[in-house]
Amino acid sequence: MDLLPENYKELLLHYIDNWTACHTAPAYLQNLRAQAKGAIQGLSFPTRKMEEWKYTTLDRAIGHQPLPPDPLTGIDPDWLEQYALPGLEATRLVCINGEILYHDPLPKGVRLERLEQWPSHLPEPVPQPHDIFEQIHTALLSSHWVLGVAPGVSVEKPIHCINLIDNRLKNVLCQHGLLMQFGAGAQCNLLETQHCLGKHSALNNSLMQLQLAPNSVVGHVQIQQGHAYQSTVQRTHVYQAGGSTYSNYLFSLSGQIIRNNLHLSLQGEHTEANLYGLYLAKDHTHIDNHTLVDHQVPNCQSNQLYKGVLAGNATGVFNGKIYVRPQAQKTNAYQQNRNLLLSEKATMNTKPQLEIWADDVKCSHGCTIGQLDEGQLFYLQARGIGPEASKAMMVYAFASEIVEKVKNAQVRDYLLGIIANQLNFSID
Amino acid sequence: MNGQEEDLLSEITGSDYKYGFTTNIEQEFAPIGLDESTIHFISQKKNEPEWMLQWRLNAFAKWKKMQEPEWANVQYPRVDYQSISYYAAPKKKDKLQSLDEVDPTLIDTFNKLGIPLEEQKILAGVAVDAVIDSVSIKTTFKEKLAEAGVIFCAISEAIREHPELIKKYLGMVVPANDNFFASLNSAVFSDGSFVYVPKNTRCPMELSTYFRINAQNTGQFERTLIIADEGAYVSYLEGCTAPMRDENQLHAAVVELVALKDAEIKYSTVQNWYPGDKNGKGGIYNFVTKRGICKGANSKISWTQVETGSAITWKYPSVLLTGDNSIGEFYSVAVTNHHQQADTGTKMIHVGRNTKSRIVSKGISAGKSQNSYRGLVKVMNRADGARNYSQCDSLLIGDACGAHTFPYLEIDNQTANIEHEASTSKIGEDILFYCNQRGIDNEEATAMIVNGFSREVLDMLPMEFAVEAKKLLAISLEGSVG
Repeated sequence: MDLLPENYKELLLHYIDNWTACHTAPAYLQNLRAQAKGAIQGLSFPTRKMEEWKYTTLDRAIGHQPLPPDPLTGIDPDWLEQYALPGLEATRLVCINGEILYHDPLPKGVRLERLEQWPSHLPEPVPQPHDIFEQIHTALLSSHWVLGVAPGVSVEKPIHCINLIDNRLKNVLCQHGLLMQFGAGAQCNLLETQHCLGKHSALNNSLMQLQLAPNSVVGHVQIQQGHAYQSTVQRTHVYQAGGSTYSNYLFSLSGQIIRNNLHLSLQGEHTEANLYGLYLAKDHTHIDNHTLVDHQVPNCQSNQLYKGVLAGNATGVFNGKIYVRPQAQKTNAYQQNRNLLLSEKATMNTKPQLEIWADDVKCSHGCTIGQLDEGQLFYLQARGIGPEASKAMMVYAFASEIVEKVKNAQVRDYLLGIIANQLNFSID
Repeated sequence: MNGQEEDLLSEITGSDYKYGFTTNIEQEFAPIGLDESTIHFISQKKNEPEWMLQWRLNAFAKWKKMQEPEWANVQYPRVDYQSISYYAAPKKKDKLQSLDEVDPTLIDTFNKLGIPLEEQKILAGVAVDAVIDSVSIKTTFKEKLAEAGVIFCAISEAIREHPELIKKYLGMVVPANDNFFASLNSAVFSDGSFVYVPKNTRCPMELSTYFRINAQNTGQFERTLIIADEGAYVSYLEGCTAPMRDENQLHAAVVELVALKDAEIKYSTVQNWYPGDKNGKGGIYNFVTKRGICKGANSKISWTQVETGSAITWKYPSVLLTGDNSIGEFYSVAVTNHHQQADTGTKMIHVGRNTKSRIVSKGISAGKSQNSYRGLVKVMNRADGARNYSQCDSLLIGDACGAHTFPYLEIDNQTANIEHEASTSKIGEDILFYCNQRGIDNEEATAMIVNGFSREVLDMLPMEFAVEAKKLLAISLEGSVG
């Protein structure tokens, strides 16, 4: 923690210079990199004085001076088996240190490619000019990977992105990103998991962009697990065209600092967005979820349900924003945030925020923070269930509400297994 | 939108401020601008002791180093603090013994405002400390209050007569360096009210002050300090209305409430200052710091406000719950119309054990106005058993207005039980249709709905005030709300 963020920035800029010199790229990307590097110079790492980072500091993560890991060249598919979900039949896509190094044969109608130029139909590549992590991501980007699903194609097996970070040799800062495009009427389920290979500190800087064409349906499960020195700054930007449905299921289960920005732009009428989140934190884990649902057009619907369980010295942050633009009449937007505090030192900061600029809307949010109901605990204990087991049972039930929303049974079982396992430790 | 609705909307948004008139009374002004000599001038005018002058100068020194806050969801041209006169008082006359001796123009003003100064003496048993601009003109029922031991006087008088109380409590809840506007107020406040209710005393009547901004280009810096000693109870009413002006007037008041053990303070406000005309020109800037402290165990502070006026409202009546088992409440109706902007809410800081707080906020936006709720519920680590319930609802009338909520919840104790709900909607067409079917026209129906929407808060007002509050709601949303 002896390193000042400014010094770290210098170190990083120096690294970017060297890195750029030996990594060629298409002209469009070289421009983007140069712009991003310029932007970094004018930006600073987040401090708690910034409204968006009021409750979260990354000092613990950047204090380890993480730098990008050395590239790996190839992997043995058999070795990957340990990262597959038990019993899940999926098309696996393996990304190590931000580079896609392996994938199973792709189903019909699905393509995976590197971009040679920025396609005109895609949104501007840098939508958040004030976010230093997004700029770092772009400055160190070797190529844009695009995963596309053709119009009308219904992809049967889920696509499982396994994101591996090689921190076996040193503290690393890993850039990870993927552009995904879903054609009109396409249907697809995505699953993202991340794992560290070693024991050093790791900071995963991830940027996912999803573009949904009219009437496409996308389910997106993101599972975040990591050891006590693994941190994540993740942005997921979703652009939805008319009639599309996007459902996000975000599970933050362990790690050091996790910061998620989930940003949905509802750009076509009659779109639906569902956001479900579950965060379990203990020890010194810090989990910060920022959601922004931007209702840009009339007749859209969004639902959010985020639940959190905080034990030990853990801190949770939820900042959910519903933004309804003046023209977005007939918007229905709902948001719920429920939290359980299980220990004396656990903290929860929440800010459910509504910004409504249209009048014919129905928007609501609700938020609760509390502890397990004593009456219910007593009920269980009166029936011979010990206090520990009663607590675990109730927390498990509280958490399963979100897991139950996931459609795939194998993914559900996997998540419930992790939660059950964690509860044995998190409850005194 | 059908034609009928459009008519209704234009009627709502087209009505002008009815209380726009000015009273011609000779004024004594401080020279325009603000430096240490202004503060010397004000202090001298008030015959203040040296320690008070030092207190002001200290606040001024701190203010000079501060920045005007920009985080609120309001837009306005910056105020030039050097172009305002910081003191205005009606010319001194001999002390008056009866109502007949009061300047008839003043009586006339009160009558136009609907403040029955004469009647009130008999009618409701309300003692009125009427403030025109900055100097207390008339205080009634003083004898009766004196009998109970209650001190109710202008704060300038209290500084001279009760320095021990002022020294102990002034700045206790809102320190001189609290925020930009509070510091400015601490440096230049001209007058205000002071209430002290002694131990185990129930104040025999509702205390009330009417404020009125009356001089062009004069910032009004009121300072109110209310202390309820152990086991005391007091209910205080504050109501305001201001004449029509083209230039913006700055109002940066500070209200401090101190409730000691087992004491209860109920503070109600009906605020109807000039909101600017329908094009957004003129209007009062209302940048107020209101805060109470539940210092002793089992104490209670309750804020109730009906905000219909001001071009810009920046106001967060808060409660620091330091005493065990203390209770903080906040009930608010904020109506914005035309180009009004309101950024208002509350802060409930739970410090003591088993503290409770309740927040009910109702925002109604019409025209091109913006209405924001900004609140904080903070539970400190040792505040075991804290309980909070918050509800903030917004009603939108017309498609050019906005309603926003920024609730912050910072919970650092596992035994806390915190609930927060918010909703935003317009008046449903089905509800209007239901009323139409039963022979109630849109205008009346809207009135009914808005009244029902705000009832929870209006019910918390003392009876005398509830009547006026309903009247003000009606004026603010003229045409549809009554």
